[in-house]
Amino acid sequence: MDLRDRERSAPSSGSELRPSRRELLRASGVAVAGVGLPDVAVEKRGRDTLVLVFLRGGMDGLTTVAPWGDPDLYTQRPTLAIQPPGAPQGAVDLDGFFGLAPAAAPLLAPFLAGDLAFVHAVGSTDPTRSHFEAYRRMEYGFPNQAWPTAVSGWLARHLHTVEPLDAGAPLRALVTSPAMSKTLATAPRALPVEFPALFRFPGDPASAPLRAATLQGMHAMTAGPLAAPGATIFDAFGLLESIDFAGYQPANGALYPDHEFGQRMRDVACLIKADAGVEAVHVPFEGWDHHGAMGPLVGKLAFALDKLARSLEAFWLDLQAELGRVTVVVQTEFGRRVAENASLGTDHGHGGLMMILGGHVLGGRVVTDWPGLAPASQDDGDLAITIDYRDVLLEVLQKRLGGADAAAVFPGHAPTDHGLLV
Amino acid sequence: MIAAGAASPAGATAGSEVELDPIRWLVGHTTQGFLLEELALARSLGWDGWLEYQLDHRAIPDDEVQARLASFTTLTMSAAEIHDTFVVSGSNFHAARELRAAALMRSVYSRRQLFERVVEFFTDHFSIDQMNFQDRWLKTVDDRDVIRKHALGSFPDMLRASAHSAAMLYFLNNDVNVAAAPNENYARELLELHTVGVDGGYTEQDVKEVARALTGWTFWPKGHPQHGDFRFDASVHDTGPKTVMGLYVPAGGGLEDGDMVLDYLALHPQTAQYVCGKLARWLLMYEPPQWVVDGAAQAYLASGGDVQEVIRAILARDVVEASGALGARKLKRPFQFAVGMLRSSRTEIVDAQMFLDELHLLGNSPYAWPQPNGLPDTVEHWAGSLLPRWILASRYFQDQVEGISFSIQQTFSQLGGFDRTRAGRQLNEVFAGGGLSAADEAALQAFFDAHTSIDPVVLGEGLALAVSSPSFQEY
Repeated sequence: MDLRDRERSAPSSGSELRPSRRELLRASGVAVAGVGLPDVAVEKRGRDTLVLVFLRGGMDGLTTVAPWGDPDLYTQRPTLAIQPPGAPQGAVDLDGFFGLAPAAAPLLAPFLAGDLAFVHAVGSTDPTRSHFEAYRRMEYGFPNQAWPTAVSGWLARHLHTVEPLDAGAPLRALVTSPAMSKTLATAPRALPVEFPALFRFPGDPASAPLRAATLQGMHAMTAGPLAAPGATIFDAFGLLESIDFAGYQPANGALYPDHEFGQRMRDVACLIKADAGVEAVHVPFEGWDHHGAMGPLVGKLAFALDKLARSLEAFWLDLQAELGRVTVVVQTEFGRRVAENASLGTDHGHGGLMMILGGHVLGGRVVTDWPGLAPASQDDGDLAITIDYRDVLLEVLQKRLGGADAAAVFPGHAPTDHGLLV
Repeated sequence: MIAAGAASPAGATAGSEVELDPIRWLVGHTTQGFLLEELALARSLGWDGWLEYQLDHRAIPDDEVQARLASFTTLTMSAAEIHDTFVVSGSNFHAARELRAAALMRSVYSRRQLFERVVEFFTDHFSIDQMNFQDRWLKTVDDRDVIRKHALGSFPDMLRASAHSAAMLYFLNNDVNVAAAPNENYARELLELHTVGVDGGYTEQDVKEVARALTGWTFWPKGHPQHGDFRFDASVHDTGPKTVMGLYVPAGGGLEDGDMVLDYLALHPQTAQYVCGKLARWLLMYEPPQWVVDGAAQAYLASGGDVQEVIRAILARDVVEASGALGARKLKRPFQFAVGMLRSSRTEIVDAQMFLDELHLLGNSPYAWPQPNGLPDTVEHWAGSLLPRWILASRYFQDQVEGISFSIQQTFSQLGGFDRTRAGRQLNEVFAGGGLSAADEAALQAFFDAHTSIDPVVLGEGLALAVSSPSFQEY
């Protein structure tokens, strides 16, 4: 229950470097697409906190970053396709081929600043079109193969194979939901923490020491699956109680939308600024399975994209000074069927979209080996996958999270470096 | 029954040393929480007697819960009645709130405890997110006419009722599944989650064929007098031939196409394996031996999918003992944790809403799981989530949750009143029938011994510690 007594690490030196680069870019007024400035490569510790946003349900990458330059988009999706830039409610152009759905327009600013890259036609090559099977295979990290009986999450295996960012950190990873995620299953010093502001030992503070000691003692005596989380919870009280989540004031006028995902990202920003040695935060975001009345412009998908884009924009703005030590990855279990169905929605597909945001991202680009949307180029009716999602994650681990033991994190996968970060 | 599988606790997931007591195990796995009188009744009836008593659920008087639910008017309404009475006047959530409260009240107060436990299982099996627009009121009808009607009856009947249920058709978009471009959402989950399971041997083509067979299955919309009733729209049905997992559905059919597919899937051997495996995991242990699942599946197929026969096959005493389940431990999900806390403390629920709102923070509010696969029943998912339980217990036992209170007198009445000198033992009896670990019992006694006097605040703190103990989280 005591506050941590260890020395806090000094603020990242990247905070001095980042603004000047950003100001330079803004002042120059030039398009920054494709410009990778490695001027923030030298960090005191050279490691980031990973914020892993998982869009549950299968986000439609063909709407979010629409390939308006591919004529087959409009034959396959006569009703739902985002129109080309310039048309009413048309795409916000990114590079002359891809464009953002209007509801995702807030992502343009981090993209132009060179901090955000999209990876398209990406995903798990496992053929499943089931949400739940895809979660299992993707989050445990065993696509197209049998997995061991004692399964663990890919991110948990990473945390087991690297030294902690901060040896004294009480909490190395958390998921912002009421219960543990598969991605972090068996991770060391990891907890579900849905509302960090509520992470307080309950009851009368006067009697708390005796009650806490009693409960801590019980968990120390048990040998079952509650022993480790019980100990971690008691270790984490000191850290999380010392951070003022409720009174947090975002920087640079960043406005987090007042909904679940926006508030989660606000909490994550507050935690990152506390620089407490947390290495990974998993942020699940429900509600991306739009079989009917998808609404890419004004309906369910537009609403979800607006939440996502405004929250990420706020996070990016808020963490300008800390961008040199944070990488955000946005993923989903699969993209959606290329052709629309008759209920103005799309069914489960294959290839999808990922996003990667941070100070070390070589952003302002849509990274892809575009397979095309013509029926002959499709994978059983779906966007083909040309980049494996494991490549993206391994590159982030390798360059920004203390190195990747690829054989441990994703056994059986020979990774390719796509030059997404420095 | 095959006597394979040693009775070793190899499947044990917890290290808390708890003395084995078969009847206590049975009561722990067939109720939502301990009452000393239920444990005593089970001891007097014996293993088979208790099981048969609980299976014959309609014969168990349940006046108390009926009386407590008498004012919940939407529970007996049709979808059209709920819509026209409440939804049109702006009370979008009224029915949903009543149904959620009813789930809690039934679990706490009903004497038909096994029935409620199986209802919870099938609520997850045919999971519907109640907050999904029209499901705010359609789920009330589904809960009554699909889940509760058939939970201890015929699984094939439940499956067919589910496929005709507006709440399910709406949740998984089959209401807009038409021949021109089928919507596969329900068809996929019908195979993957409701019948043969993800390893059931179907292909992507089978998913598409099932979707075609179910084109035109919809329900009467809002505003129509029959709103919520099943409707078959022949004009959008795909009349071509289909083949589903080897079943040939000839061309020219209508409503009977879907019926054929459902009948075929309901009694498919893979469905028997999948549903019985899940039920054995729910009632018995996390990793039931294959011979237990095979025995249950055999009972399923021999009885045409009778859930009671399946439960008899899983919970027969010799099966339980040979499976090793007596030495294995499962982790309670938050709802079971909360209901157990309320039952054992003789709770008085005047208004369940505030408690349900707080329960939501534990990740297990009734009908709130957003996805169609139902809440996980795994250690992996729930083990890290202890603090929300401690907080809820602390607030409840300090009378800080509005609308609900516990009774010290009734909690200890069968033990001759609270006795601080044996408080640890008493709390163990009250909350777990003696099933808490010796270490936890000793820690509780030490907590009381550290106080010179026991006022209601200290007693409440002790009760909260009892239900926060590691061994209370298991059963």
